[in-house]
Amino acid sequence: MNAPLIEAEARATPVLVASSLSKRFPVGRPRLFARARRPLLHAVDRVSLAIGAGETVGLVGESGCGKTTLTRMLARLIDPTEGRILFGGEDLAAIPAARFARHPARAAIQMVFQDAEGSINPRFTAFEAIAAPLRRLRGLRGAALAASVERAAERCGLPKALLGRFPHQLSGGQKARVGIARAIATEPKLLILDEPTSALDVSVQVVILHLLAELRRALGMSYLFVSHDLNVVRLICDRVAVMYLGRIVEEGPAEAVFRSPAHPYTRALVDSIAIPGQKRAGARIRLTGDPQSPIDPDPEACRFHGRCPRGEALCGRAAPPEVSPAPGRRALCHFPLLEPA
Amino acid sequence: MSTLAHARHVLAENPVTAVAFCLFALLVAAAIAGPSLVPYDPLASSDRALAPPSVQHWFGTDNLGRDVFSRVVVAARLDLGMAFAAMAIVFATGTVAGVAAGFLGGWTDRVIGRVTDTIMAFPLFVLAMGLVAAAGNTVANVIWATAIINFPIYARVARTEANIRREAGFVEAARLSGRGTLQVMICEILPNVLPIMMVQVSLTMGYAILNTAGLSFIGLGIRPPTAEWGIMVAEGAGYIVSGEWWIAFFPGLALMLAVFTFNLLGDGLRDIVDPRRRS
Amino acid sequence: MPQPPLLAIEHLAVEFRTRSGVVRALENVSFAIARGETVGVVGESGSGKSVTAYAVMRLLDPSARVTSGKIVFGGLDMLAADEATLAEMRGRELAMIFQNPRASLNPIRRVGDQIADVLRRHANLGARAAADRAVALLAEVGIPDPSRRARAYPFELSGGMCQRVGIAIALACRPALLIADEPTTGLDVTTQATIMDLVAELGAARGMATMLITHDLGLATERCDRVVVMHAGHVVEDAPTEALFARPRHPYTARLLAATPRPGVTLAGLSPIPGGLPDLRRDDLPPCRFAARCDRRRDDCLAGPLPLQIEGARRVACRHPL
Repeated sequence: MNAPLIEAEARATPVLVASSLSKRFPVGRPRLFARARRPLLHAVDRVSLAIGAGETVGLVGESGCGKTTLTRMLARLIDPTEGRILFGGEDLAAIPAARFARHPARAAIQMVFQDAEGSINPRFTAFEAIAAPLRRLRGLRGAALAASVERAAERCGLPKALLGRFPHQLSGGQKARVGIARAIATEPKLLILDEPTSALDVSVQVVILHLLAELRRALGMSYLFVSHDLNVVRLICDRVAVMYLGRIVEEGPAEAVFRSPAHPYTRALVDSIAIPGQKRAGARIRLTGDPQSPIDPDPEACRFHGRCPRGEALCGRAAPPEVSPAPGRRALCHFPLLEPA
Repeated sequence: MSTLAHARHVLAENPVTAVAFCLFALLVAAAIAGPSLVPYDPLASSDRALAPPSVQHWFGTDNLGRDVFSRVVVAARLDLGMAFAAMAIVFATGTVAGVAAGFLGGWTDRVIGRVTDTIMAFPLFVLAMGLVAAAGNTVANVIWATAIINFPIYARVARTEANIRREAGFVEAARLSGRGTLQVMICEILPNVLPIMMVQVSLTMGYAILNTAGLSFIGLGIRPPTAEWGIMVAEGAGYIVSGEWWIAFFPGLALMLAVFTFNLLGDGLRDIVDPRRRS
Repeated sequence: MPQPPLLAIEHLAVEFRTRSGVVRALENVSFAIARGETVGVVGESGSGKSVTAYAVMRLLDPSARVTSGKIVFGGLDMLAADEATLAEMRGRELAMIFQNPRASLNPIRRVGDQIADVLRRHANLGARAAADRAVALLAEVGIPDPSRRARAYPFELSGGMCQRVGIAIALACRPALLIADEPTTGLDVTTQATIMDLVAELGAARGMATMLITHDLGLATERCDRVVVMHAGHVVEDAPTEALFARPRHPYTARLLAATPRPGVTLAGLSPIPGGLPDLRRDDLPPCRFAARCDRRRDDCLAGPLPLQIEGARRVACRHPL
């Protein structure tokens, strides 16, 4: 099968569709006799994203852009303030996070964390960590449970002998494998990976990335891959979404977005990538100015205004529309850039 | 490195902790086996009253001719027993309350917080006195009173430890595994908090023993002729001026030793249990 | 006659005494940094890069022992100097910025005061003058509204701003050498670029040399004049940046590059480095610590001391370089 056909298929059969998801947090202390409404921090603002079957979608953005909040909403660990999450034919956002633990879809959406050590209970062995979701979500016990755990470990290249160890007795790469084994144990449809390799040495990272690619193929999963390492994102993602201050400012096929970014922020991001072994040719795009505050942002202005190298008067007066600079791509900008970087 | 190997290392590096462990073993032995091993019946009076320490009576005899040594050893069972009982109660209740407050937050935290604040508003020993005086002068009430006045510190420690771990990665992972809030609290947070609470037990044990002895010193709780360190010190206090120092001295020494042992034990246990101190 | 280097590390060997044995963290480490030069020290975790930095600053853990070698900084023998002389040096001539910016700032003191501390200690400024200069330094490192921010506590500032404060503290007395230990890990890619630009600009303005310790080859490529590659406590290659990456001569350098994601290389094209770090507690470590993982290993690689091949400005510690 060639790539464009897979892409078309993926778009035709999305595994998950997030529709206008928002998360707003009230800021400041609750007042007993509040006269004015408390200010709201717009962590995620009207984000819509579709993840196709077998697809790897990258999610990038600086700290504070809302990627963590978005991933926690999609994993149903926190509730959105508004919006829908369509998965398997139902709207998961309608089910409160506290009750989602008992929902059948819980086993179908899992997560791999950045800090593998912190994500495993220090008092559990690797076996117990991997067994937990199988026990709760698949109801396995005894020999069947042990067999499943061993199969998951084997798939992740984790030797059986290490299953009896505690997290502090495992190396960085081994802990990462335990985290992945636990996440794939229930054979989820969607795996959310939050910076899974950023704490690993470059050589171990290669091994883990190969493992993730192999698992995706073998189990037919889709990935949402969050990372700040744009070289890795470019390497393994089919599509990429760029977030800034709670909004998706650009989205499209990874190679196209990296080659010719349409949004000025994406352009600055791509330009700041340091290529190992190759010194940069010209000057780098510098973002001057302070980022806007995510608290009660001006609805009639672009969030990137003030830092954008291309800022025009219109950007401060009207919210940017979502435009499609090329088929399959979208950007949230009044003046998207169309020529390659 | 396994817990046992780490424990051995800690004991090797801290001879003082090793000594504390030996003393602890000695105290427990005295509590368990003491009454069957002592040379004299602790309640039996004799006509050799106020005899100074000698080969026949290692710690001398008191005003009723009772052997002080036998009484000191036998009293270990009562003093330690009451302190253990109180600590067991407060360990269970304080840990659960603290973990719930720290993990669930919100109203649970506020209510438990106010309860602990109320208890801590009083000087704790005075509160214990008041509780025993009001509820009745029995051993059981002394145990309850001791438990109540120690509740705040257990609840606070447990609350802090639960709070720190509330946002931990493994809590999120547990939710992803299908665990509900209550399950996360019991199966994930509690096992991490328990070792720290056990250290807390041995640290406050000394205080509990002092509390029990203190209450009986002023006449609340244990009554004569029962052998108990606090009463013995109270009875012997009057005789110090006339020169019969041994009646109050040896029970006082035993008290000091017990408190000292448990404090040292607590420090040593903390070194063994706290994973961050492992290098 | 060429100027003597600002920092010369010669045959440095450092050991750590631990419960499970003696760890031979550094062995025969030699390299030099000239005035105004930016040298990158790269390697994976456990390579000894940070240990080298702490050894230069004489801030090693008490369980560490320098078993041989010399560290000469600005003509001063660092290993023989007494604590008073070293305390004078640190902050004034030699400064360091750390990986976790928040952790290197005192959480209960205002940032302006922390900068002023260095100025009062080393520049002999009075309280008022030091406070004013601290505000000026905050402006220099690009912190907006510096007079207000000087009164802020570290927790009120973002990671990037804390790192800027760390730079302000380090550069307050215009040191001759700045050691930057993974200064951009944990920062966003845009903040990384800005921070490194700042260090480069401030450095260039004062002719300051920089030792940049990092595992990020991209960062090393962009910022360093020369790169020193370390593996398991050894220096394996030391060459000008472009030459090093264009044509690596040590097998480890080549494999490190081959494992790093970069444009034009697919996932299948990346290859991990086989094996793992040797156990540095062993006392039978071979002279070449990479030989066990090297696919170019020959019989004579494990025999005899490791030769240092010198080719112009490049040094390679390999018997059979690429």
